[in-house]
Amino acid sequence: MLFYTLRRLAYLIPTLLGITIVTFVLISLAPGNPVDLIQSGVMSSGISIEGYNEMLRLYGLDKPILIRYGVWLERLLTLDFGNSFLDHRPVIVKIWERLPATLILNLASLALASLLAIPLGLYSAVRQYSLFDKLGGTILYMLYSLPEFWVAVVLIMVFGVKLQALPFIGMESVDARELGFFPYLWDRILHMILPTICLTYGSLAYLSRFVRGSTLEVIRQDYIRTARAKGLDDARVVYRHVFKNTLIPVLTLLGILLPTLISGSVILEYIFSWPGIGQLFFEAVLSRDYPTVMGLSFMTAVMVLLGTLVADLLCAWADPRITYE
Amino acid sequence: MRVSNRILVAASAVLVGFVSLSSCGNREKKEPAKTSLTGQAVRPTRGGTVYRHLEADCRTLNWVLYTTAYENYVLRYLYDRLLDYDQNLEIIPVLAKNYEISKDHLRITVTLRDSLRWHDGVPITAEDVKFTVEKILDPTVAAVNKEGWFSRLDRVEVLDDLTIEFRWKEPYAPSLHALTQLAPIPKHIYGEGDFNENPANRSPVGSGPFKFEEWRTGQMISLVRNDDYYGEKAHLDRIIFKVIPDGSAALNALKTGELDEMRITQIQWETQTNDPDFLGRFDKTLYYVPQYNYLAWNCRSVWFKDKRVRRAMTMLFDRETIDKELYSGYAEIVTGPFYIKSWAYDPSIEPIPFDPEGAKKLLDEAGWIDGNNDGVREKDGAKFEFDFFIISGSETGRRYSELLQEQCRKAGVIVNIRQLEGATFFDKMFKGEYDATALAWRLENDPDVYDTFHSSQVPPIGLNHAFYSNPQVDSLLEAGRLEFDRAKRQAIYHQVHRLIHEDQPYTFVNSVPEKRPLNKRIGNVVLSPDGPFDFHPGAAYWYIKHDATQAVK
Repeated sequence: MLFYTLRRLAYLIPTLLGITIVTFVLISLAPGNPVDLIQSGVMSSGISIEGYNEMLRLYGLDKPILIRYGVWLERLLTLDFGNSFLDHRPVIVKIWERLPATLILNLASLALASLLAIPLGLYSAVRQYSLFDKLGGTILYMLYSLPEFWVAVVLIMVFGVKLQALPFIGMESVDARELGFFPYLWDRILHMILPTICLTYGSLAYLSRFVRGSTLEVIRQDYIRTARAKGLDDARVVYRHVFKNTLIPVLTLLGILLPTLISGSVILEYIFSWPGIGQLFFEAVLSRDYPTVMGLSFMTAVMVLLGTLVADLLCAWADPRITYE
Repeated sequence: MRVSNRILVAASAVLVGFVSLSSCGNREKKEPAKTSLTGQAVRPTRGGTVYRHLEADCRTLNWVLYTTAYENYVLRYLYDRLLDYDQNLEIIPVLAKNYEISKDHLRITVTLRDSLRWHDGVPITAEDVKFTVEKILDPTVAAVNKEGWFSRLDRVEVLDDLTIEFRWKEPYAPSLHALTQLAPIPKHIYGEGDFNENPANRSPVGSGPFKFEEWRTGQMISLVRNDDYYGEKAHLDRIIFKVIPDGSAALNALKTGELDEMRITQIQWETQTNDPDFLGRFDKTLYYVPQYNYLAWNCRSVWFKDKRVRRAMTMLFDRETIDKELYSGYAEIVTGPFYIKSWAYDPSIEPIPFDPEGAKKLLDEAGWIDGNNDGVREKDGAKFEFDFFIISGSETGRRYSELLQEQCRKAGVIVNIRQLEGATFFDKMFKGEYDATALAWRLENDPDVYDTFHSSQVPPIGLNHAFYSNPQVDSLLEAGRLEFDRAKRQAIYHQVHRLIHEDQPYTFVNSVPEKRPLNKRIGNVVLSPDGPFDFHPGAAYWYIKHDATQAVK
């Protein structure tokens, strides 16, 4: 198992190299460079050709793409993502200060979705084709097909503007920090309610249908029939035999969902003025802030690969039939 | 070296929208408040917080490095400039006590006010001014939007603690304007370490009526009153800028009292801000900032090298309908490259009317004739079919191009509309790789348009992306930079206006007003021709009215 893990970790390196090369080349080949954009898109472009070339040198953009990639890679070895072209601050600092906002929202959403989806899915499967299953399924599919931005706007109109019951701007009130710990905590929780709902309802539908499907598969297995034949009551069969086995594919799915924890939702963060990773990434791509784009892409790639690895390891842990020896 | 004095803005619904001095009926109501600025009428009360809107977070609060309008909103409170424009857009001394221009126009001597202090208590001296200019011109410093103003500077000399002399390489009429673009930054703070990464870029020490307090990235920036300010002290305790990127979310925040002001879109102006409750709580102000929309014709292309064809294009573009459909009649048609209410603009020039029949005649005259009856005009084997580039997602660009396409089709000209992503679009603009496009210029208070219309400024060097070339205009633009007398300079630019209008390298479309509701609880709102902020003292003396009952979160 240890050997397997190490081998998998070793495989990460060439994969990561491949991913970063492709990302680097793609973003660099996208037309428009940051110097053009800083000048023209936003302000004026009236500097001399010398000034222009000076700027290119300042950002290291006068060198060929492969050299630039080499420089980037060399820095990466010391965990240095470079400085943002937009504000000259280290990329790692920019990511770090936005990570908590995205993380807390995604964690809340994932927790909420799992807590609701697993019992929902389980119950729907056990009572397959019951009214609950059919109605629940229909409602969940309807939710799944509602676009996030639309739901967000409706929720804001109703709870934010008409009822003025919930805040919808940012993650805290301006003066909340002066109020003391509990009022501050309460303020933060209130600010999270609407975005969390928007972020959750889609994955709730997805996850609960997934749990239902995997449960149905387990229910049909011989060992469940055996368990029932032994005369075990329904509750015991479901909780001890069905539930545990259902979790195996769910664990895999959660592993795959891991990277989404740090990749913010661009649209929702925009609508709720949530200062997270999604907004940072969006701005970085639009303004061709190569170091920030690369930093974020690298981080996401690492999380995806690690997530897959963790999912595999969890599977082996949960299912004694799977070994990686 | 070229001078940067204009901002090219994509013709999009969000970015475009502005013109000259004018405002809606609410302006009269503000007159009493205005007099309070001079100490009569209402006595402003001290205290309170105004909540302002940022459409995007600031990148830096270093005055030399900033590039966006949002950053200027914040920096306006934090830094005073040597000279500045007042509410009538006349140049006045601010940090300077006075200034003197030498007879040969090569030297400007500026004397600072006595006992000026930075927010940390250190005196402001001539050394700080010199340091700031040096940083602007430093090649390792990305002062893109300021460098151009000072590139003609020979050197800056400190005569004594409070006196600085600016020596220019040649007489340069916009040199006083350049000094309005100069807010000194403290040498003792920025003098050491890497300038671009200086920690003070995010916690600035300024000279203005408000001091920096806190910046929460992506969320808010707060400023507090500077009680040691050299001039009249501000009334408000705090200014808080909230970062709300989504326009609808911001309007909702305005309605729930979380914002006191914001820039709204045409649609919001017409459909979402007219209920009695809103009108009872907000003054809807409307003003024209120096900006205009235009269609650019690539004068080097086979189609648009002939000015008769360009004129025909203007005749095919229905500006009245555009105004009615897109701007509900608020936009003003422009005929030349200057701010419409500035002294440089010649209001006597009549716009070329919408005239499809006249356009067809002109095209015939120019030799573009549909010989084979396929509905498309040709000349020397070339078809009259060109690409019209717009930025994808730009609603204005889309409507402009569709309207043009429709009229052109009837006149036997094929327009292929191509949507390009922003970065790609600007890349093509600055290389001059396009046939025609819709764009907007943001202008400065000085009318020098050398960069955009002088024949030496064509891509890839300059901003003359229409590849316009007229020797007469060239020499006038050169003369305009050397003439310091306002009346003579005006005559020069009126001629420039007439000639460019004659040649139509652009179809000058219109100036669209910026629309901004302001909460009525705010007193002392003064509107300059380009709005309530970008002049001295701008919004520094706003206060919260006594009887204001609006609860603000």
